[in-house]
Amino acid sequence: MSGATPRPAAVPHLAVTDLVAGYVPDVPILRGASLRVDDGEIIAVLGPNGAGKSTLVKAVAGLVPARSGDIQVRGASILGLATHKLVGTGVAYVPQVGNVFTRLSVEENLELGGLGGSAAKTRQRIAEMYTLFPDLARFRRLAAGRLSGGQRQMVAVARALMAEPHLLMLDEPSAGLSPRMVELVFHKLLEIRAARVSILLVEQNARAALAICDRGYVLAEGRERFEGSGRDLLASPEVGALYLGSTTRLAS
Amino acid sequence: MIQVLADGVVAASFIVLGVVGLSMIYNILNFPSFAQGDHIATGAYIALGIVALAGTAGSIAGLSFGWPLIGALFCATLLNGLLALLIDRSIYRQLRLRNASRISLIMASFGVALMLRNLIVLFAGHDPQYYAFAIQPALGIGGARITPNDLLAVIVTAVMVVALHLFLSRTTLGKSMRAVSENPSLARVNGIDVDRVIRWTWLIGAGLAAIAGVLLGLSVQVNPSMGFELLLPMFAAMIVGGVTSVYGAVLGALLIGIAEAVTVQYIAPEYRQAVAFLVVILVLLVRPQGILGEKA
Repeated sequence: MSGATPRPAAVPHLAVTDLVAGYVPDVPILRGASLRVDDGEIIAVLGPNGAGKSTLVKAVAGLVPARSGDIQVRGASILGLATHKLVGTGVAYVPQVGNVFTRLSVEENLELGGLGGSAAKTRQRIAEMYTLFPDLARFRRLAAGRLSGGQRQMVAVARALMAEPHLLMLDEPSAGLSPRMVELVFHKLLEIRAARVSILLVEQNARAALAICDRGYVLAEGRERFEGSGRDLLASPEVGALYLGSTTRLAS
Repeated sequence: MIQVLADGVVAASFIVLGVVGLSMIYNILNFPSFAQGDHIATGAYIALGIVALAGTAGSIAGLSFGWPLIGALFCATLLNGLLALLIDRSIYRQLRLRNASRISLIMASFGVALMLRNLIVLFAGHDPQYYAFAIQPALGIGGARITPNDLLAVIVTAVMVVALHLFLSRTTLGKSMRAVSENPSLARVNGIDVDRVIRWTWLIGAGLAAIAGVLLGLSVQVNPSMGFELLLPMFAAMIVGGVTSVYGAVLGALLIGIAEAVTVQYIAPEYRQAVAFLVVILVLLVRPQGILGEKA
């Protein structure tokens, strides 16, 4: 929305520009993808299987090498940054699978999420996480591997939030969860955004993601094909028919 | 019977101190290091070298050695750790950077094992050596007779196991190690510097191996294949205890040590490894994942 006095162009929390990335040098999965996450936004990244959604967040996390293009966090390029230094830039990442340490207790998982801070800071942050996710306080001494899928997802998100990131990247947080649990997790994402954390959400569950996002990108064959508000993308017939998941495609 | 148990616990001590490193390296670097036995020997020989320079003058509380050996033990622990770091940097790390397969790392560890053993022979020769020649009267403790040196080995091992537990459960580095052993990629995402964790793994694993070497040298003798001979019992202990668990490895070592002592006492010393492996097979038949291991 442009008002009478234009807002000074804010530096985006994350800016991906013409990114080419993949595991094998000559077979890139991303072929020039661009996207932007601004302060306080929830951005959904959708698309069919193999479109490069997960590769995109993994490339930002430094887990997949970028061949060309740029990735900037708050205006500074993070290309080639070692994965363990990503936390220091204020970007947290919740992988799709294997996103908790199953043999460590819930509390130990959280402690490791807050490695950079002082002991007092970590304790305070853990208390805040137990307020945000009251269930976790009850299971604090339990090995995270013994929790249900939904509870594990909560541990994963809480762990990622421990370092007080300004951007939270989630890869398919709804995978394997019941519809009720998906609703609960997504509701938490709105609470997290309210605490001034931007969110980059990669999802197969397009409807749930578009319902809470500010803007969405539809990826296909390694590039973004559509960009728009959640409502516009939901309403767009091409997007619906082509990219919002196989059920829509089968129905049409 | 109590005597057999005591002998078993003494034998287990050396296996415990060696197998902790084997298990940690296996879980963090994801390959079984066949050089772990020879790291035990290098630790013993480093201490021997220091003792040769400083002498073993004196005797403390019935032990066969004096303060110089205690000092040598500390130095050997540190130097043996640094030696392992040097080997990792020049060999294993190069392989990791090239995404070498697990089998390449295993074969490299065979090479390191041979290299270390032959370096020892080169510098110190084949002949068995001793830290000190003092004759020790055995102490009688609860019906078992045990030499002060062996008692020290058991006490040091117990202290190390407790310290290891506190380290893994209370310290950030210990928790980071458990995190890396389970999921290195998630550990990186969490901000854990995996290379640093690997460096500490070698320092601790080879440091404990040096302690094992010195205590074993005090109990028996120092010779170039002293560590290699512990390799099979260590692997047996790690597997029977459950490869994913350091605590399992410690329990496994106790089981192997006692099984060996029972065999020496009631059957024949030559069968001691055969019986130990029979025990391993029996346990694995009942619990394929090992005593404390997780199902795959």
